Amino acid sequence: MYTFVLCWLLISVLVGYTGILRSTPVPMPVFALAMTLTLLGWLTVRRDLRDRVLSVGVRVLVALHITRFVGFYFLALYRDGLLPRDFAVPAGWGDIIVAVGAIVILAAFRPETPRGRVAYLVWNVLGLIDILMVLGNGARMMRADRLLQAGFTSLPLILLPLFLVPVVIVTHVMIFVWWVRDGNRVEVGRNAGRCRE
Amino acid sequence: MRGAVASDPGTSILYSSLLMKIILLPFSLAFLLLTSLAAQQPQVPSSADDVRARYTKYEFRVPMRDGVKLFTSIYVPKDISQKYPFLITRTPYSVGPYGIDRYRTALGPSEHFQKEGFIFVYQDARGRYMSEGEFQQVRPFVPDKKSNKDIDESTDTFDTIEWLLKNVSNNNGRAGMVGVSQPGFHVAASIINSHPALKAASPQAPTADYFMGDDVYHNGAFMLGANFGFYSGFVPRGDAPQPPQQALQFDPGTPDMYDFFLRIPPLARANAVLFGGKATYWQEIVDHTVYDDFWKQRSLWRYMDDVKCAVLNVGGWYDAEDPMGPLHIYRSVEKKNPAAVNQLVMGPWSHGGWGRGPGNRLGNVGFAMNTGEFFREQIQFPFFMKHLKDKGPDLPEAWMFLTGIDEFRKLPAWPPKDLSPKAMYLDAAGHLSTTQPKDAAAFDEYVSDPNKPVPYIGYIGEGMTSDYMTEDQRFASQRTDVLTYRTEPLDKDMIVAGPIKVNLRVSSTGTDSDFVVKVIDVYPNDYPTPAATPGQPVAANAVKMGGYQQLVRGEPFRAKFRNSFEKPEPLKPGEPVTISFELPDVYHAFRTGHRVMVQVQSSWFPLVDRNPQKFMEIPQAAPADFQKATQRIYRSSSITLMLEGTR
Repeated sequence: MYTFVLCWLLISVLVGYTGILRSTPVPMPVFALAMTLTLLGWLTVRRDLRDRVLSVGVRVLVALHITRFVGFYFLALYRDGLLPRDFAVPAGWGDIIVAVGAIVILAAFRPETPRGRVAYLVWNVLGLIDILMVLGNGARMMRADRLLQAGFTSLPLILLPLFLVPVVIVTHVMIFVWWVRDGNRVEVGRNAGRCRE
Repeated sequence: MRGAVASDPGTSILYSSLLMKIILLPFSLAFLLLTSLAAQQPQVPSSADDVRARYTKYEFRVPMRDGVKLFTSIYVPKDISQKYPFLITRTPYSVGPYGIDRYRTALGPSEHFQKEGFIFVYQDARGRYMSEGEFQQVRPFVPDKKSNKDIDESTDTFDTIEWLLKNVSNNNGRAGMVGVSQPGFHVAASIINSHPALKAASPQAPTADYFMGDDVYHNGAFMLGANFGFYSGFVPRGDAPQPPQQALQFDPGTPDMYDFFLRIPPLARANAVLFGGKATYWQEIVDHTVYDDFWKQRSLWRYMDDVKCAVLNVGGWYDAEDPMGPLHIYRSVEKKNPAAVNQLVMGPWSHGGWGRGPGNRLGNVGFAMNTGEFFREQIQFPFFMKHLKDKGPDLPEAWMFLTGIDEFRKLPAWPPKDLSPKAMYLDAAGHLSTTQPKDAAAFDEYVSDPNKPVPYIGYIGEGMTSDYMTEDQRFASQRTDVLTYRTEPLDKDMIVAGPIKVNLRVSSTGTDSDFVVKVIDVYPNDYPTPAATPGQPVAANAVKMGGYQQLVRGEPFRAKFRNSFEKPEPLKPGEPVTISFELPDVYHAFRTGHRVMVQVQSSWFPLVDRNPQKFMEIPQAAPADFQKATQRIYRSSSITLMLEGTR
């Protein structure tokens, strides 16, 4: 799995370096969505892969979202005139809030406790809504704005649609999978206890 | 019945076949008719076929003194009954088509040359396309050459001519050169310490000084509109020679370039963000914001020594890219080589406009004659015939087109020697006065907002249109951030020749600012508008020529360079300073009943990049750096026109 992720990252870097997507008319979020759906489809049909991803533990999956402090980079790019306000400010602050939320729930809650499960679920829903809104807003704006699109077709920003955004969405989905699966296990455990009584 | 037919395969095929014949019959008849008609018509050869019929193409890799080989296409006349001179063009823009079986569609700078017969030579500049070596944009001239490794465009041309004389038969021992824009630079660079066989050269719109008034900077202000698109596609090729690749040119995705350029990243970051880091020539020009050694080494006019050939300098009064190049080269050759045949032609043309089309109008302004055809037939062709084939008349020192009166005039010198200066002051109530105002401390003021810059044209258009230099300025007169001054209607014709001196007394609440000065010819209100095309309705927004405000000349000046182009200095907010500079030469008649107008403004967008009105490296400016400033123009400010006596 780690080899796959590394290869995927390297290919994304290569695509950015060669500039082969520089003149694509397709908004870059569409590539992010296509990559995400491919990964999710793969995880759906391959239970072993799903298990391997979940085996790293839900706290690791949440910890990956600390990378969403990349939102500060969006704000810096806006300040420097490299990203438009309408995209950079909501996307930047949204990601920063989700990253802070990730740190808070990792520090304050244990995922196996009932309160922790609620906290993880709430954070996960908000985090997923945020990234989907960024994706939708980006697709809408990039279709009309060649300057915004151009920024995301070359390094380093191209790594967001080609790599980071799919990772973020897939991990959100896998955290849902954990939530459902772990909940079932708790229920099974409780029922089993009652049977023994 | 239909079912029965359909169920019988044999009948079905029969019916299908019949149906096809019926359908195809008209097409077959039409085909036969067309082919028979075509057979009766004489075959009109394509232009490439015409070239092929009279010339044989060769391709060579011509060795230079340092061992580098330059790709050269040569078209030799098939008729060997006479000897021919070479006519050479060296270019960074490709000599294609490549391959000895693939011919250009036309040879020479006009059809006259192809008909007359020359040995046409086209060479890829060093480091471009199929030529070896490393390209440098407007390669610096090396004045003190110590070895064969010290090369420049002059040595490359010298070595090329030497090789041609020895290796191409049936030549008459003479060579000429011609080129427009950067190829014009190659011509101008080649006439320095030139080969004795180079007898005639015509640098046309040559780049003489990228920083001082040609393509890139005008008085320290960056010419954004002209350069952004060009440099997004003009990028280095790979290490090895290769034919042209697909252009990288950035697609802005909108026709509204005013809006587009307002939103682009800081210019120093545009290469990384928009051009994938490949537009290194763009990076060079935005990284050198002062008149440093990078630019000085490329200021070709400084080096015009030992010019032995006849020179025909050609430029356009309305050349938005290289307005100064021809004048710079002409003056420098004149000064350093007083004995040289050095001639000047300026016409009412945009960049290279003399080489194509009739040249009878530009934008909304007509010129009453086919100036382009006149130039090609009566000036350019006779010049080369005179010096390469000893045929034809001598040309005057200067053939100058007088705009306003619309005629070419032969002059013994440029500028004419008997001019008298006339100062005009920016007086109260928008009056352009010929007497100095008594209250020199009085001023007019406006607020310049770089986030709402003054557009350079009054409609949605490109970053730089080819005809903006004759464009109507009424849209600018209506703005509150443009000061407008004008004379009363003139009671007689006033002919202005040569550069226009500007003397501004200004202050700003910012620590830097641009001051754009425009000289405008205001037509009388009853000036007729050309009739509409018969049968076509007149569009409501069609330009009305009554009261037309024709731009005659305009230039920006970046205030931080008021004392030195090498060492910029900030303005002290509120403290008046004097800014003196020249607008490039004009030869224009303000006709009786017209008015002279001067406009002053602090942006000219996106022709010129925005000044944040804060002393800083402007290509690094972020959105927060752009701030409003209140500009004062004091009444002691003036322009000085050089007037010719009325004929």
